[in-house]
Amino acid sequence: MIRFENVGLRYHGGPEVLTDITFTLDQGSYHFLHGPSGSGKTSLMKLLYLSHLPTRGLVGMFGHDVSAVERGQRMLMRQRIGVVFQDFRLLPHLSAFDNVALPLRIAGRKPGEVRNAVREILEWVGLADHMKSSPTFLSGGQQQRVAIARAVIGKPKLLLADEPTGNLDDTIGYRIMSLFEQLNKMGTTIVIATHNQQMMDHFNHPRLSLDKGHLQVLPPTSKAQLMAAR
Amino acid sequence: MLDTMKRKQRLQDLPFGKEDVGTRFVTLVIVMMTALATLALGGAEVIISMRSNWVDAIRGQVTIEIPATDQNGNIRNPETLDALAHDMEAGLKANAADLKAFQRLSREQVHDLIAPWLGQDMAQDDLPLPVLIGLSFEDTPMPARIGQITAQIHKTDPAASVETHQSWLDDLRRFSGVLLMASAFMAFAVVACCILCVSGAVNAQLASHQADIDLLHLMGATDDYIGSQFVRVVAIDVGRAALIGTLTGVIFLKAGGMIAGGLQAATIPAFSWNPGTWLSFAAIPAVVTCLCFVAARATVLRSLEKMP
Repeated sequence: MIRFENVGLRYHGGPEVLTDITFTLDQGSYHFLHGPSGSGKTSLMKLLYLSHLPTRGLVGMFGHDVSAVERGQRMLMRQRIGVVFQDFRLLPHLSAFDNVALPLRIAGRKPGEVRNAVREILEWVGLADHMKSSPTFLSGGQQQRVAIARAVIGKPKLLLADEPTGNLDDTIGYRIMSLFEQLNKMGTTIVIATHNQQMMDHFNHPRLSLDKGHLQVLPPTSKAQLMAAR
Repeated sequence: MLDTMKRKQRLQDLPFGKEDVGTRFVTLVIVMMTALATLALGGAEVIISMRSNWVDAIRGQVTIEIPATDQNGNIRNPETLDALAHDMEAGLKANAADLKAFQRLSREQVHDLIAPWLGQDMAQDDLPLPVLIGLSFEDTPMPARIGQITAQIHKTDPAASVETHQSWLDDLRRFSGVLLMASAFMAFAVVACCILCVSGAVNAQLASHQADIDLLHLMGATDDYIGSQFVRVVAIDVGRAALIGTLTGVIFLKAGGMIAGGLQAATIPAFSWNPGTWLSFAAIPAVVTCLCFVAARATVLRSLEKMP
């Protein structure tokens, strides 16, 4: 479903921040993306959520070369991608309900359908009592749950999450990870950027390891494999 | 429930603040510009009405002057002038079927005409006054017909002159045409100013909401989706401002009309508030809003297209 071939990325003619990235993500796969700060995780995520186009190489997504498709079609491709940003990027003038409803409204869903879907997902992430609250009045963890609800409400084909459990306590964190597992079982391809070694040890998924702009595809951590074997 | 649904449909994803300084500035500019456009349109209406009044007043009118002196410069006595006028009337009535009226001004009326220059105290019997005759025709005679009338008059008195007021009318037409062009230019400048202001404001809004727009793009919002939100806000704000501006202009015109009415000046026509006038005033906010709508849409789509 996603294919990177010798992909390079540089900003404004500067040095390459990603060099010769090559990997394939099959539909329904689940990967962790990790690496030290400055390794290029955010840049790789930007390529994955089509915010940037590669400077060189090929990025294939949903059967299309993203550099070759028209801008309008790229917008429609983005509707099939859910993103949880590290800084949440919620719109402060909208309520939690309306923030979560955005992807469905953009996709042109009917108001009744939007209302039911948003209520359901917000109840699921434990924010039923905060539907009308502005994100400004929500805690970091609550904002993160709103961001996650917004990313998954459209049942995306590809879910990208940047440190999605960073601000959550363990209970909610694992609940969110379980949601991602469920989505993955339903066929959603998932890439989670994380520094959380415990999480990578707990869930048995392969890793995309970045270092200084170079990528290696690694198997799940040995602990995760061990836990899975049990 | 219906209310909730309507509220949802009207919901703006982007925070267009009413308190935004740029928005307030644009609103104020559009109020002033549309008020000016209304005044320009009112001025044009007055010019057209004035020109129409003057043209109507001299339509079909020809003035004959039998000079007080003959071709040799000898002063004619009143009896001679009376006889010439009488012969002229007889000749014209016999030969000009389209002549509606032959009206000779009395010596008192001619005296009144020149009194502003010579003073009321002049003794009219001492002055050699010309004879002035007003001819009324069905319509303003064409040059060929004027030639025939002149020839007929010259049979009676070769020194008599015929004035059709055409050159004065041509000057008036040229002058009013210049004024109308000035009004049209003013209306054009006003509309151009509104469009430039709206385009500038849209660009400023795009810059200030760049992060939010990027987010909507990342969620797959098309340029049309984002653009329609801008354009809807612009249309509402501009429409409201243009309406206020037009009303302000109309109030000014009403007040001006009342003052001009009080002047009782025959040359100043009364401003006519007919349905056509109201319709043209009503068109101002509609036209301004439509043009600003189109300008805002073009600006926002052009800018959004440049985004990744």
